[in-house]
Amino acid sequence: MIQCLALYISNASNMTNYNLIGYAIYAIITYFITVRVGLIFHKNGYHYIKSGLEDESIATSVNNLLLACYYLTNLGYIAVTIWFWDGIGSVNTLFESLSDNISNIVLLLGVLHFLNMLVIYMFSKKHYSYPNI
Amino acid sequence: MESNINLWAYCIYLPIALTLTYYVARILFENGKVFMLDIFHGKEGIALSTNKLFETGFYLLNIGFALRILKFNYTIGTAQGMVEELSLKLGGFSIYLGVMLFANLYMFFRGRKASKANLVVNEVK
Repeated sequence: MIQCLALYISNASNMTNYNLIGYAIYAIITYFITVRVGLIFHKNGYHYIKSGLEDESIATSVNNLLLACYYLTNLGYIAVTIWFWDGIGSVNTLFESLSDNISNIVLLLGVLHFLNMLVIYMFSKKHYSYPNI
Repeated sequence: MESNINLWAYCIYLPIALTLTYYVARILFENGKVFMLDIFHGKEGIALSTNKLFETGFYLLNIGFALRILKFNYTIGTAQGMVEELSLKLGGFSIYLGVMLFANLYMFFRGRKASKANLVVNEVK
């Protein structure tokens, strides 16, 4: 019976679906990163939007809409990338493929963020003199 | 498991790289507040917001890069190999962090110069 149990366990460990584990970890981590970063942008970007629009109620609603848009695109992109994963055979490849995919998302967020700040800076330079920001 | 050493290397590399990023970002942006207040002429709301936005971007870029270079392309055979590989990887990452830190510092100084020049122009107007 113990042999049976051992056989069962070894079979089970052979059949462990690393892909599903990977998807779960990936979804949780990227979800938390996206939401947290979105809230930081939402809170700190408000000053910029307010300086651009000069009307508090419109600035607030624009800010909220931008946050919703950000969530939709990023969480959607996260969901789409799961389709492109290769098969994962071991804990090692699990680590590698997780770090690969999470780094994709995080780098994308970072680059988009700096592009956004550049655009806002150029926009504010065009329309207002600098100390007005 | 033949590739056990790779797993060990990942488990050592990740915490060190992430803590390094955290400490560098903290040092840079604790001191960045002064620059930002100077750039925005003491307007606290927008200065601290900008500081926080740059901090978030810094974290995103550097943690993304740390995860990107995590993968070892082959199986590490010995403990000696692991130490060598880890030192190469962590050393490279730390040099990269240093370059990023200087890039940020350069940006702070440029912003300061630009805002001072702008102030002079506005006063002349």
